[in-house]
Amino acid sequence: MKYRIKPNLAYRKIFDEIYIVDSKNSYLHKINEVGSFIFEKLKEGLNEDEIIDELVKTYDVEIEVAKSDYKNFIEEIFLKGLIEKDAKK
Amino acid sequence: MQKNKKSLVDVLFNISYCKKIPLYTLIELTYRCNFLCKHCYIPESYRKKILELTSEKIISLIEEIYSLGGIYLIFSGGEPLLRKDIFELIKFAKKLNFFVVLFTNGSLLDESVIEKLKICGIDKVEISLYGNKKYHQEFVGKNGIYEKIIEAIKLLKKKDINVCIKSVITNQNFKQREFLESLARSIGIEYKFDFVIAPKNNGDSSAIALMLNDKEIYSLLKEYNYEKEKTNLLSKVICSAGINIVAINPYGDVFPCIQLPYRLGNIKEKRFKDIWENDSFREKFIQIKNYKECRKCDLLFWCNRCPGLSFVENKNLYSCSSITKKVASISKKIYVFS
Ligand code: SF4
Ligand code: SF4
Repeated sequence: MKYRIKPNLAYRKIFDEIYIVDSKNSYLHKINEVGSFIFEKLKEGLNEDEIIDELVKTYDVEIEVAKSDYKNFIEEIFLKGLIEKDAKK
Repeated sequence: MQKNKKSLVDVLFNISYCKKIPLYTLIELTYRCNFLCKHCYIPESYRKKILELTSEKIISLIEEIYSLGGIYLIFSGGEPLLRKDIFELIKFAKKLNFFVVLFTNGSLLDESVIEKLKICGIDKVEISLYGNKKYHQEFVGKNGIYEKIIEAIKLLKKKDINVCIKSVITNQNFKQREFLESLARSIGIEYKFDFVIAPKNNGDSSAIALMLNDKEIYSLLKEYNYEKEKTNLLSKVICSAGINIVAINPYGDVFPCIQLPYRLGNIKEKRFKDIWENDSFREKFIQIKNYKECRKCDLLFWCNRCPGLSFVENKNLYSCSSITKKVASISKKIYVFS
């Protein structure tokens, strides 16, 4: 499954963490360094396998750890309405 | 991932304050306006198109603010919809993932303008409204616009664009507040107001006559449960103007805040980044020893000190403004008698 960042978000990376403002309600969210890494890869249009691969390479972790980090993060930001399923894929 | 909205706002505010990130930038795109509001701080003689920044200059300014870490961007005026490049500027800022807010009088918002704003990805539209039809039209000096503004507000809401109504409450529309509040409630949008009226940028203080009397301020502060959050001396005296807030006028002058016309430089002469990174204003501004009157003032705890008002009134950042002093002494009375 491929996800994409919702169009109604404003965000900025400040010292490795991304601050996101949802224009629907002006709510502010913050994502940590690993989350910010995944968020940026989503922005670049990478799919799940590609992002997990990048996580393994960048953070030197086991693939199972990368998969679980990815899954947890995606679940969390999906519930918060920050991403949506990409219908093209 | 963290959830708490309020504390996160504080975290971001504090980081940007310490690291001098221009988190909130207000760009006045033009001083031209099709209204002549009674309280407006822009003198009529300032409304010249000829000196306005070009689209290219504004775009490179937005790029610089982006590279410095800014996220909230307000396009204001005058009436910003009088600029033909407004949609191009919003689109560009959204491409850089800013939270883009438009301050407008609402009179130019027809269906096609609203559709364009939606397509550009505007995040919020704030519309000035001062009362019912009769009062509003008289206050802004223009007839035949009221219904159009109300329709525009409703259409923005229908199109799922974050919209709010805001007013300045004066001694003339004090009784209009309830009407405005219930109008906003019936449409399902936010209503906010302020009652402080600043002298014009050229020092003309005639609009101050519109300010509420003591009794009205007292009842307003009491009704809205006026809060005194800031507790330490430093945050009571020094605000974040020029530290994580910045404003640029239509002619390229950079100010610490739109309420504080203390010129830091001009982007037609220097890069914004160089103006912003020059610490000479901040160094003076944050010196608590400069605030001699405030340090010994018994109203300090109740005062929402604004250096902008001090500067416009007395040409001195560190002085006491009669307007803030008046509000502070009323707040103290409420505190003492409750
Ligand atoms: S009332 Fe005037 S002197 Fe007192 S704290 Fe406020 S601004 Fe300073
Ligand atoms: S206190 Fe006055 S100068 Fe400071 S940020 Fe607020 S409005 Fe601007």
